[in-house]
Amino acid sequence: MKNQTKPIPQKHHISSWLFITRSLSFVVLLLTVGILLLPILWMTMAAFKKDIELFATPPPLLPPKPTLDAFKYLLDQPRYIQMLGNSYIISFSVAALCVFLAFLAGYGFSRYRLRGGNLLLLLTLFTQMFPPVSLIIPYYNILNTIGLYDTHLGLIVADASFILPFCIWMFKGYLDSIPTDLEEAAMVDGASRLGALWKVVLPLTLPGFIATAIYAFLGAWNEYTFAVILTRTEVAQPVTVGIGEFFGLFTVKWSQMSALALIASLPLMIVFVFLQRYLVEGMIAGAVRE
Amino acid sequence: MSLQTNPQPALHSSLSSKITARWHRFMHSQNAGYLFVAPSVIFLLLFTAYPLGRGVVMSMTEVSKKGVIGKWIGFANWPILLQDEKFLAAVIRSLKFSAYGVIGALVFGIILALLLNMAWVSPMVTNFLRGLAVLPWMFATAVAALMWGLLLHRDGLLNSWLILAGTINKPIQFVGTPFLALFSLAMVFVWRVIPFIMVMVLASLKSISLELYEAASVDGANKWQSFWGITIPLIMPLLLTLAILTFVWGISQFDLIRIITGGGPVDSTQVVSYYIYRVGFLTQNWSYGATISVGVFIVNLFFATLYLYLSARSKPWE
Repeated sequence: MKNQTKPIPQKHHISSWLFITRSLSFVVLLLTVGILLLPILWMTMAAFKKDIELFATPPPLLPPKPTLDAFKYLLDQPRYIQMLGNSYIISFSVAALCVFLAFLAGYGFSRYRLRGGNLLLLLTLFTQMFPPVSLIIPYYNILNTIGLYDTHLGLIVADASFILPFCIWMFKGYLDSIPTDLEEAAMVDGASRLGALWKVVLPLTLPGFIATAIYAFLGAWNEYTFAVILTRTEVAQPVTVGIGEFFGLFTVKWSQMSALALIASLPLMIVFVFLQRYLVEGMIAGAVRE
Repeated sequence: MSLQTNPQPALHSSLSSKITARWHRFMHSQNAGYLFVAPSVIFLLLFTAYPLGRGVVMSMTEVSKKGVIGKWIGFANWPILLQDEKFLAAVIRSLKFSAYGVIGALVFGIILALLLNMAWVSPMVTNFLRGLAVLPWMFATAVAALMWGLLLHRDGLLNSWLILAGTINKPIQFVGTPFLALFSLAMVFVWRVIPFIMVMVLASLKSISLELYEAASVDGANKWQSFWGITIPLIMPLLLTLAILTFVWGISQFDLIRIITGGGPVDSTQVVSYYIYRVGFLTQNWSYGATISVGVFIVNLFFATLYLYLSARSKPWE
């Protein structure tokens, strides 16, 4: 090594400089990702700790004596179990509704030249830019008038109205990427339009279905603004409201709250481990606007 | 051929076969597209456009505490709104919050995307890290509020570490001090948006042809020069779009504020979206609350138009 450096000192200088910058930037990368993950890890640990350990100085990173007390506390509170159930009911309904409507609309926008179609698509995008808060007052007013305040259905409709537009874009993005030759061939062979849609387009769009369904499900699952305003009791309140509610208590029950948040994050953990690829690709497909 | 596939043509009444034929013809015509689009359009008309219209009506009428729409008052609320000091202060807070958000999320999002785009790191490692870095984006705001509540607590992790490091000797009240609270909330917001910015910028970086960089290096440009001369100009349209999107999201933020600070301390985190909630739901002044909503809506409409105009011009992945 040393023999080599003498004839070409400059080159060695450059490569060691390169080595230093590379390892530095890799360390920075790891640190940045670490910092991003810190709040998540800390909350996960908190669910298995006692509150005293949580705020001790210096704080133990891992729970010194892992305990399931917080989870046991939640099991004794049927209220939170019911809220979790509500979250599942609402999110599955929103996902089903959005996937159904968005697939049809995405197909219409992708395969037909509609008069005013581009304008319609742009208008659906506009709704993405509204703050949900700017609609809560009329929404509350309407749901109260028609008796859907504090019901699953009211919240499902409100959530879906905000989630649907992007789902349409996601499906349109997916369908645009599937060549029309295949369905045309099927139709030449005697299949009807709907038959071709069912037998040829649907299977090819499966990744799009998964991505859109996850997007809609997680959107409804994580929603808080509509939930806290359009529901009042545990008959319809989803679990996000339950988590937020803990903050309002006189003494915040940190570990119990962390445990609830952990249980409430189960669906997205599943998505994260098994289906993340679909979601990220789907969102990019929806964001590519032509 | 068609006779063979249809085994009982004689049994079909001519009317039903006519209807089937018409249906098939319709399904193959361009007009069938409207049929596919109609359910979504009707849904959005009923559940987005109608509430929006109702909001405008509520802002121009007297609305009782119980929410019954009464006498027409026209634009009477608007002069009050424009002189409402609490409202103007809330607008400034919203703008500040969004500005912190845009700067923080873009700077860190771009840095992270660039780091993940380093060609010499194996794709397996970068894909794994990218996957992990997407996580903050997936959690509910309510859960994010809790995570940061734990970290920023007076006796929380951040304060204990800062004290252990000797940086401070008394714990900082991150969300309890008026001049720090808004900034702390913006930090949580940035944490949630970074992954989105990173994913989008990374996709755009990967689409830049390597030949451009090779050509530049043949011409004697160093890494720094090709970064400013090639990378930045090529992702600029996307960055602009992302900046506007983040800005609008910032203005829409409600959950974080509602959960962590409830507008306090001393109104220091009462942004516009929280002010709407307060006027409407805490004082039941529905008409005035609806007026603020319409105002916010108009502002967002402006940014939405700008966003659409810019994203129509830039097609970042082509």
